[in-house]
Amino acid sequence: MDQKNIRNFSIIAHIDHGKSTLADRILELTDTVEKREMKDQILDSMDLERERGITIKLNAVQLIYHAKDGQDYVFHLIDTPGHVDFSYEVSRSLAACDGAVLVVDAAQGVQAQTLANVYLALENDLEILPVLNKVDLPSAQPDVVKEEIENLIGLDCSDAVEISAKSGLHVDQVLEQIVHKLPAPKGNNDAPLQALVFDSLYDSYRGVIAFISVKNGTIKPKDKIRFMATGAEYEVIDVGVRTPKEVIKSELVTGEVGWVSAAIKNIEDVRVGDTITKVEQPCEVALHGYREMNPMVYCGLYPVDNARYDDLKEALSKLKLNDASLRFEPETSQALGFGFRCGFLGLLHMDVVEERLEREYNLDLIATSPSVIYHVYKTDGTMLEIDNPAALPPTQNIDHIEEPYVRAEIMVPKDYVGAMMDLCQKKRGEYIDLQVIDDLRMNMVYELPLSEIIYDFFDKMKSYTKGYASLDYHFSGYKTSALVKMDILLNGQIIDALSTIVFKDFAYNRGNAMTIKLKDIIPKQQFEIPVQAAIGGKIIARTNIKALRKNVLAKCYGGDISRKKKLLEKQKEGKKRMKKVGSVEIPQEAFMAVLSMDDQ
Amino acid sequence: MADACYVHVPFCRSICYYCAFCRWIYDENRIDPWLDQIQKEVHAKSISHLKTLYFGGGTPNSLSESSFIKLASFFKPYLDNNYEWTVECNPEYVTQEQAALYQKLGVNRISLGVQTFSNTKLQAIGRTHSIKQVTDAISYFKKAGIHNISIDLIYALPNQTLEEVKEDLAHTFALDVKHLSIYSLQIEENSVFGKWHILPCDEDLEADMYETVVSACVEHGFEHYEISSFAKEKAYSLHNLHYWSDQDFYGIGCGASGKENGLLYENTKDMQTYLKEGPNPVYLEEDNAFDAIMMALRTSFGLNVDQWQQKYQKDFHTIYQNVLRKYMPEYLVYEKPYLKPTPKGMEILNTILVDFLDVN
Repeated sequence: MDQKNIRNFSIIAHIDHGKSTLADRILELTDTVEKREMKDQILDSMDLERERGITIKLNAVQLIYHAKDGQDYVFHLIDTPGHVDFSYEVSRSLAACDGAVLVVDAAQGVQAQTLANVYLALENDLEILPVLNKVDLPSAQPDVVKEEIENLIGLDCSDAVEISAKSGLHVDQVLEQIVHKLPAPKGNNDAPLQALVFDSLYDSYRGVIAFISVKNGTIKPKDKIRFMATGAEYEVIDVGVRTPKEVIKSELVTGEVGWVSAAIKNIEDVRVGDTITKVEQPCEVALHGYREMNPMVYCGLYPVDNARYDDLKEALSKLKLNDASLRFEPETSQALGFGFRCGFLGLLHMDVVEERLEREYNLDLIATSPSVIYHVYKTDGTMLEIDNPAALPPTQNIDHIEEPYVRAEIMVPKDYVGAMMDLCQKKRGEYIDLQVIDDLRMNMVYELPLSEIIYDFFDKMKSYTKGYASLDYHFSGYKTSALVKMDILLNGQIIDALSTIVFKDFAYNRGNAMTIKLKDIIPKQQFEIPVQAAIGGKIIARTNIKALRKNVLAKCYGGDISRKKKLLEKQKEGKKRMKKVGSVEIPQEAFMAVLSMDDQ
Repeated sequence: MADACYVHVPFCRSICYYCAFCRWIYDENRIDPWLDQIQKEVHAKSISHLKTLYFGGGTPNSLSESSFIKLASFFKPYLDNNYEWTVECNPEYVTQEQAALYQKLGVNRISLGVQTFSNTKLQAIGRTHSIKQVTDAISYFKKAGIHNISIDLIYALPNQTLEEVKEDLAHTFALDVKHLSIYSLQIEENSVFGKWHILPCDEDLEADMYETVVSACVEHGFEHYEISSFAKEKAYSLHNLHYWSDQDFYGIGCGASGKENGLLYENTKDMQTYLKEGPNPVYLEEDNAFDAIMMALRTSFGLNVDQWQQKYQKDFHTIYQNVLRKYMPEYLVYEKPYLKPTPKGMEILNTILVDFLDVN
C-alpha cells in the first residue's frame, strides 16, 4: 500500500455524542466487520465498556476503504474514551494519528469535553474534521451548532457533514472527507525504524503485545528491536494489525498502525510512549513520548483475603501495562493488612480499575475512600506529600496543609447559572469568570478544591442542572486550606482505613453523615457497636449499631431444607466479603461510605 | 425405609397473603384426577408401615367428606399401632360432622390455623375465619374425642404491637390446647405480601415479640422444644421431630417434598403437570451432614453428636472446634452426647449455622 493512501485518525467527542456509534457505521460501510458479526459498540471489547456505554480503552483497527476516486485507502481508526478521567488515553491515541474526526451532537452543541479534546488534537498538530451528529433528532439545530463550533473553536464548518451515526445517514460523505481532507502520514519508509508504542497488553501465551504507530522505517519478524527508554532488546516474532480481529502481516511499513509480538515476558520492558527501533540500524533520537500523566486521586486497595496479596500485585502489574497512568505501591493498614496505595486519574478511572481487578482477575477487594495528595508543611519546615489520611503527622507537628485546586470550566444553560454558582460556593469554589457562549449558554470558570470534585461534585452538578451542564477541569495549583483529619472509631477502636481529611467547617456534618451511613451498612453483630467520628481525640458525632438479637428462620420442616439452606449460603457469601477488624465484621462498601452519603 | 409420610393437599378456597406454599384455588373438577394420582404415587412407593402421617396444605379440610374418606383410605392400611396422624385444618370449614368423621377415620391430631385472634388482623392477612369459628372448631374436635390439638399463630404482622401479641397469647392460653406453633411472619417473595412489597417488622420489636412469646409459653407450662414449637405434657409433634432428627420421610402429592434413602426430592409444583405426568420428583444434591446439624439445633434436644459421627464418619469436635469455641457455653452447650442450643443460641441460630457452613 502506497503511503499516500494511508489515513490515521481518531474520532473525538464529548461523552455520548456518538463516537462509538460512528465507529460502528464506518466499520460496516467499509465491510470491515460482516453484518452478522456486528454488534453495538464493537470496538468496546470490555464487558465493562458495553455495560456502561462508555469507552475506557483506546482501540486501533485497520480498514480498507474503496474511495469514489477508484483507489483503495487504508484507514487506521483509533477509538478514544470520552470521559475527562481518560483524557490521557485520548492524548496517547492522538499521538498515533495525523487527523481527527470531531463529532458534535447537533442538539447539544459544543460541550466542555468537546473543547478539551480539540485542544489535545491541536497540541498534537492534527487536522480536524468537524461532523454534526444526530441531525435526525427533532431538537437538532445543525446551523446553530456549526456557528458555535466556528465561534468557540475557530474551525471552518462550511463543509461539515451532517450525519446520523445511528441510521447511517451521510456517513459515506465522512469517509470521502477523511480521504480528501486528512493528511497521509509523513515519515520515510527507508529511514531507520521509529515506532511509537501507544498501548500494550499482556497475553498469557505470547507475553506483552505492543501496539505501535510506525513513524519511519519498517518492522517485520526476525528483526532485532530495542525499546529506547528501557534498553530492552528482543527479536520480533510476529507483526500484524487488527481489523478488529487480529491479522498477522509480513511487515508493518511507515504510516501503519498495528501490533508487535516478541515473546516479551518482562512487563516493565514495555513502556507506553517509548520508541522502538532496530538494534542494528538504530534511529538517532526517540520520538516525542507523552507527557507523564500524574494520578490525582489515591486510594488503598486490599484483598479481602490477605493470602491473595501476591495475586493482587500481579494483577496490578498487568493492568498497568495498558494503563500507564495507574500507580501503585505497597501499603499496610492496621485494619486491612497488606495492600497497595494506588493512584488514579479520577474516580471513574479508580472505579474501572477496581472493577477490572475484580472481574478479570477474580479478586475480592476492599477499596478505601479516595484521597487527593496533600502538601503537609510541618513545624520543622519540611513538607510531606500525603495521599493517605492515616499517614498525616500529629496535629501539633503540622504548620499548615495545602490541597490541590483545579480550574473548572462548566458549560451550563443560562437558567441554571444561579444554581451552579450556589453549588460551586458550597464546594468552596472561587469565582474566576463567567463567559457568554451564545444566547442560551454560559461558561462558568471556578477554582475548586479537587477533593470536592472527587467527592460528589459531578453527581450534584448533574442533579442541579438536570444533566445539562458539562464539566472539564485541570490542575491549577496548591492552596492552603483549613483541613483536619477525621477518624472513625468502631467499638472504641480507630479504623485507620476509614480516616479522611476534611475541610474543618464541613467536619461536623460529614462526621454525622458518615456515622449514620456506617450504621446502615455494617450489619448488626452479637454486641452493640458504638460508631464515632473524632477529630484529634474529640468525638464530634456518635451513633450505635444495635446488637443483633434475633436471626433465625421461623419455619424449617422437611420440605424447607434446601430452600432455607440457600438463605444460609447467601449469608455466608455476604460474610466472605467482610473484613474482620478487631471484633467487628465490616463489609467492603463501608470503606467507600464517604462517597455515597448525603451530608446536606 | 421411611416411616413418616407427608401428604400435600394443595387446594384452598381462598389465598392467605403470607402464604408461599404450593396452593391452587379449590376446583371440584380437579379433585378426582388428583386423588387418582395420589393413589398411584402411594402404590409406587412400596410403603411398609407409618409411624406418622401428616396431611398438610393448602387446606386439607377443604376437601369434601367423600374425597377425604378416599384420600384417607390410601394411607390407613400402613398405619402402625401407635401412629400419629395430623390434619391441618382451617377453622371456618370445621363442623361437628367433619370432626366426628376425622375421629372415626382415625385422625388423632389436629393442627388448626388460627394465626391471630384479632378480626381486623385476620382480614389484613387474607384469612376468612372468625374468632368464634376457632373456639367452635376446638370444641367440636374435643367433643369428637380428638384432644391432641395444635394451634398455629403468627406474630410480627404488619403494624402489630407487642400488646397485641400479648392479647393473642392470652386468648391462646385460654383455649387449653396441648401444642403451639408460633411463627414470626416471613415475607416470602412468592406470597401476596411479597408482591405487595410489605416491609418486615422492626428487628428489635420482632425480637421483643419472640422473647415475650417464649417466656409467656414457658410460664403457662409449655415446653419450648423447638424454635417455634411449644408442647404441654410432652405432646410434641412426632412428625416434625422426624424432620429435625435427620430421618427419611415420604413426600406425596403436587408440591410435596420427601427424603428417601437420605436423598431429598421435590415433586412438581405445577398441578397440570402433576395430573398429567405424576409427581416428577427432582432430586437435590444436599450435604446431609450439615443439614442434620441445621435441623437438630432447632430443637432443645439438640444434635446427637455420637450418632452423627457414626452416620457421617466425621470427627465433629475437630471439624467444628472453632465454631464451638466461639459459641460455647453462651449459645451452645454440650451435654454428652448432645450439642444443644441455649435459648440465646436458638434466637441467633442462623448466625451460628453460617459459621458451621463456613467450615464446610
